[in-house]
Amino acid sequence: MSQKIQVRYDNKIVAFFVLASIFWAGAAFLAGVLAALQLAYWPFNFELEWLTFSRIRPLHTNAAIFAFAGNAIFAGMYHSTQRLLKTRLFSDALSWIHFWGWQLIILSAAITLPLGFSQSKEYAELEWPIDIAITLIWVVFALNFFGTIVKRKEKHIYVAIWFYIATIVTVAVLHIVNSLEIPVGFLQSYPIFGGVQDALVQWWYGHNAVAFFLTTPFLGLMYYYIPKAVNRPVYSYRLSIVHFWSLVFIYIWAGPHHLLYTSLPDWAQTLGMIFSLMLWAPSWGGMINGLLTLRGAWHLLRTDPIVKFLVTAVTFYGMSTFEGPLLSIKSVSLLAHYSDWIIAHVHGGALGWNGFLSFGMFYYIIPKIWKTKMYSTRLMNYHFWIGLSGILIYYISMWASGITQGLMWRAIDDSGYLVYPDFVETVMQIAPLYWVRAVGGILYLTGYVLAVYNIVKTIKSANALEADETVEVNATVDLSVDKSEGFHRRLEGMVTIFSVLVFLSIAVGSILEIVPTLSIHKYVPQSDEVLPYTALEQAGRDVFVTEGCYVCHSQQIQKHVSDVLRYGPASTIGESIYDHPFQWGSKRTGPDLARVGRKYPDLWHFRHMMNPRSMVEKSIMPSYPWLLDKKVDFYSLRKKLSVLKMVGVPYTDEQVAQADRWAEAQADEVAASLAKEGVEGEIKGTKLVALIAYLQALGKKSKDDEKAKAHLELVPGGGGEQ
Amino acid sequence: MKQAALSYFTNNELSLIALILFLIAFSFLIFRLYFWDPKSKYDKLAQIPLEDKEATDGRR
Ligand code: HEC
Repeated sequence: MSQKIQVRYDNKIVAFFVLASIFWAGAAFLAGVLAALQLAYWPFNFELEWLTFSRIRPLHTNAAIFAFAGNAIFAGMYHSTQRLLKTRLFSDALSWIHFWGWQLIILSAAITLPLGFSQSKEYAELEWPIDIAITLIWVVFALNFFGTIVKRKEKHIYVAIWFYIATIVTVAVLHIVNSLEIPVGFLQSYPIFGGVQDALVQWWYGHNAVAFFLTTPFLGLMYYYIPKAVNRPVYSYRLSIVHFWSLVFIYIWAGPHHLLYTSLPDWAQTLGMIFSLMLWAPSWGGMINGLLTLRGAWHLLRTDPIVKFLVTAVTFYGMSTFEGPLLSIKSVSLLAHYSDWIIAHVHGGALGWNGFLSFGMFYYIIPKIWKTKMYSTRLMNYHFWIGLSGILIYYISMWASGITQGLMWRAIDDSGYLVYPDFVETVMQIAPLYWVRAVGGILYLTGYVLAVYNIVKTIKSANALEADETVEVNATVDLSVDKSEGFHRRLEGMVTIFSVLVFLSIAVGSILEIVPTLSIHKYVPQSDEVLPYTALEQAGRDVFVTEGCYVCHSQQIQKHVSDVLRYGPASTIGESIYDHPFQWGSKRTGPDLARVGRKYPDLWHFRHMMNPRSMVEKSIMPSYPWLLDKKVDFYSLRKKLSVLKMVGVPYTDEQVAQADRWAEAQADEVAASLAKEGVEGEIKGTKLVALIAYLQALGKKSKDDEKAKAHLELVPGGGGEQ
Repeated sequence: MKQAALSYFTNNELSLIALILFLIAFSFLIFRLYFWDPKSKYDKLAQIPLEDKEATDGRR
């Protein structure tokens, strides 16, 4: 027998991450319910700028992903890793820097997003100082984690840990590449990528945020907590190896399925679709492996609420990963893209898979580290059933809504015209379902409230947290590689090589997809190129980004009949080439705006933005009256245009140097046109005027367009083309 | 225009090569795991989470 030593597991850090996750979950769910209510009845934003749908929705998604799920995975990783590697975490100091750093990041997100500081890239909205902070804290986390692996007292690295390694490596790569941006102010920046490149990089990131932040870490947790909960080893360890490597290799390619039928080159779309389809296999392999771990212990599903949560979570994982590949088949995407079906899909994953797995895990961890029993099993069961009803109501209502939207948008009558040419008709049709969805959300929130009550009671009745848990482990482990072992067993002992292999697996897909698009601008012929935005239009664009209009509006007309009938010719690569960031959007709660320029007079937009219902009676779009009170900082446009010039927008030196006067000249024009129609007051310098200039330019920037050319001539002392 | 951009993207081959590499690695993995290494070697690893006493709290 080898000698034993005592190690102390750090339970305190686990407890803090658990409680942080539970705390932020409340914020995420509340923001979600509020957003849901606003789509049913828009005045639920209480006409407050920072509670408006387009500001609260990014807050909701970021809180759900990074605050609720993020803290949950850190809790689970730190709890399970210590036990799997039989050692305390590498450094207490790093653990606490990680904890407080992450909470500060969340807090700054909770402040900046409602205030409108946003990059408008989904799940990457946070501005550059926070991006830097995320990078630093992630490095701290990685050091702490790999340090723990190095000082481990268990030779083999159990499957859960590989999934954690893949998470740490890949999230770092994704975050850094998608955050390549140049600051133009303390809380504003422009990405170095534009148009189609930005779109591809963003959805490579966006999809893999789902893959490597919401899937791989949770799979790791599944491989630890399900065996623990049912006291049985995982169904097949060998299957878990196959599951791991194929998932990691294949997932990274799937991003372009968010861009089907757009101006992204077809080869990339097809690649995204094929690899998404291939994902069926590893995902279901993993799900089956998780579920069959219960073999011979299925009765626990009846008696043990923890098992209920975990097993239901894995079932939702199976459903979501069946639906995901289905949705990326081009002809299915045709119906589902931009619709509420996608929202249904996401929530099956988020509420069912991530949410239930987290709660199951909390119910497992909390009594263990507080050395007690859960206060009430009955409340856990209520939480389960109420939460599950909430998810199902949510899921089904959004399915119905999405399919209705998809069918109505595409309905074409015998003579080849749209059956529902008025977009708002399609909105009215689904409005009742938005109420149903809100009920689903409220039920899920109710379950959460029960959980909080139950957990608070449990902790209060416990003696105290067992902050340091002492266990006996072997004093030494032989970490040398033993040739007689199975090859993967050997690999598991070689962490560096293992991590490098993980990196290579994700690098292949990333490089092959992204690198070719980086030089795409060279291949867009002159005829397809457009004029850059004028200074005022760019200022308006910043307003569009700040207000988060992209959460409801796409700017990308797809290459298919009904889209072209409704919105005009399909968008081309050239048209968005100077868009930093791209604004293609992912959801059409409102109509596409890619060609809305000059569709209506300025006055229409003026009134519509002040109160959409004054122009379209049944509109659910929020009012944006504050845009009339806020001023554009014309002077800052010099800096902004110079940064855009740096990333490749062809502004002349005069245009940059005179950006403020250029913008003012055009603002005079818009203000005059509005004054002529009877709009009173000094509106020239307002954000609303800039926004109108931008909206009127959308789809109207062709090189032959007289008006667009004339606007370039407004620069005092130069301008036009170079 | 699309033609021009598309004609540049001859990297379908590259993707194909990546896919083939993956399939080779995948086949190797399957072969080693299921036909070469004895199952028992891996079964032991599956027990790692259950080694500590925490699991034995009356669950079955
Ligand atoms: C909650 C979702 C939502 C948000 C956020 C939103 N809109 Fe809308 N928008 C709609 C809906 C629904 C319509 C269709 C009904 C209507 O015309 O009001 C619409 C219509 C429009 C139209 C008319 C399009 C047309 O072709 O008729 C414009 C322009 C527009 N929105 C601009 C904006 C701008 C700019 C913002 C951000 C400041 C914004 N919207 C934010 C939902 C939204």
